[in-house]
Amino acid sequence: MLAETSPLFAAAALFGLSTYFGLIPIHKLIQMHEARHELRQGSASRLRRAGGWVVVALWLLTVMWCAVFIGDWWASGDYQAASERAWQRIGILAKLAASAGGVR
Amino acid sequence: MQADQSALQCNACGGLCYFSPERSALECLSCGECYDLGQPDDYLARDEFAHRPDVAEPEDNITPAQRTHQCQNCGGEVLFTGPALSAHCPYCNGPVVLVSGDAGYRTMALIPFRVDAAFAKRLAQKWAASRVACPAGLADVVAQGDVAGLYAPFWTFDSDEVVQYWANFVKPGGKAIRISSTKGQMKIAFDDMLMPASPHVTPLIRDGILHDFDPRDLKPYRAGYLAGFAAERHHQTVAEGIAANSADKDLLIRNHIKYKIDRTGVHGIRYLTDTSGIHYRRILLPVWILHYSYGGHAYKIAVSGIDGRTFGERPFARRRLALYSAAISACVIALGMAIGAAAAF
Repeated sequence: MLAETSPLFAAAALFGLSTYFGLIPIHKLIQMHEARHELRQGSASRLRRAGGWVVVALWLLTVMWCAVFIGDWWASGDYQAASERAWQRIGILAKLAASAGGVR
Repeated sequence: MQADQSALQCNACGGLCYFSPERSALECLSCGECYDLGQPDDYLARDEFAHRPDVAEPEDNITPAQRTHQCQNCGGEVLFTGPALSAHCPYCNGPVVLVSGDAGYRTMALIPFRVDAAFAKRLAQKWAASRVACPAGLADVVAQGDVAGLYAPFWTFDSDEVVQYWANFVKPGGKAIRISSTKGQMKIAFDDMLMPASPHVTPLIRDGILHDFDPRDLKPYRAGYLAGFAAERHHQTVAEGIAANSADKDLLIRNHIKYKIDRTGVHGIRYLTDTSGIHYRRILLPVWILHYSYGGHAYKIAVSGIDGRTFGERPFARRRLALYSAAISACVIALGMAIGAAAAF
C-alpha cells in the first residue's frame, strides 16, 4: 500500500505522526533537562528522572530510520530496493541502541 | 509545650512573638522588640547519635504535643507554634482540624528560616515563568497561590558500606553484541545523607531545593524558631527511617557500582552490603510550599527556607509541546532523508 504513494506524501505523513507521538518524548526530554539542571547531583530523584531517555532515543531512532528509508526511496525511485536496504539498517540501529543502553 | 508557648511572649509588652527570617530573631508582633535565640553552645546541635541495628536500644523521649492539626485531605499532622495558625495544610492545601495527643520523637536540631514569605513567593513566580513549554500566564496563576512556611522533618544518616557486587555489561567490538559479567568489592561512605522523615516530604523536595544543606547551620531545637510557622513532628523510629529510605539508598549504591565498573551497558546488578557506623540526627528543615491550581489540577512549588532554591510541579502547554515536537521531527526527517538519498547513490 505504501509503495503506491509518493515518497513526499510518506514524508508528510511521517512528519504528522512523529509530531503527534513526539509529545510524550518531548515532555520527558523537558523533565530530564530540568532534573539535570535543578535536582541535586547524584541524588536519587535525579537518577530516577534521568532514566527516561530510552523513550526519547526510541522515538528519534524510529523517525530517523523511516526518514532514511523515504530519502533512499525518493532518490532511487525503487521502492523494493530501498525497502531491502532499510531492513539491513535495522541491524545497525539495534547495535546503536544496545551500545546507547550503557550511557549513564 | 505550655512552657514553650510562654517563652514566645514579649518581655517588654507581653505580646506574642514570631520568628523573623529577615532579622534571624524572635520579633514581637506588638512592639517590634527583637530577641536573639542564639546560645554559646549552639554548636552541639551538630552532634550525631549512634545506632546499632543489632542492639535493642530505647528510643528518645516521646513528647506529647498540644495544638496539633491533622489534614482532612492527606492526613499530615502539623504543629502550629505561636501566632501563625493556618486553616490549611502546608503539604497539600487541604483543610486542617485540631487533634489531640499527637506523640512524636524529640527533634534534635533545625535550621531556622532565612527566606521570608514574600521573597519565597517571588522566587516561585520566577521559577514558574522560566519553565520551558509552560502555559502562557502561568506566573500570574502562581502569583495568586498561597505560600505556607513549614519545618519539614528529615533524617541525616551516616553509614559505612562494604559492598560485594555482581553485574553484566555489554562488550563492544565484532558484529555480535557480547555480554560479559564482572564482580568486585567496594567501600562506600555515606556522610550526612539527607532523608525525608515523613511520607508527606517527597524526595523531590529534598533533591530539588535542599542542595546546600550544611550541618554547621544546625541550631538546637527551640520553640522560638518555630513561632509563626507550621512544623511536622518526627514519628519514625530510627529503624523505620532506615527502612523507609532503603529504596533511595539502593539506587545510590547501584549507581556507585555502575561508576565503579565503568563499562558500557551495565545491567543485572546484584549486591550484598555490610552496613556499619550508622549515625543519625532527627532534624527539621525550613521549606516554603506554594499551592496553586491550573486546569483543575493542584500543583505545588517548594522554596528552600535556607537559600531560596526553588523546584516544583508545573503543567505543560500541549500546543507548545507540539511545536517543539514538530521542530525536532522536521530536523530529524530532513537529516534522515538526506542520509537516505546519499545512500541510494
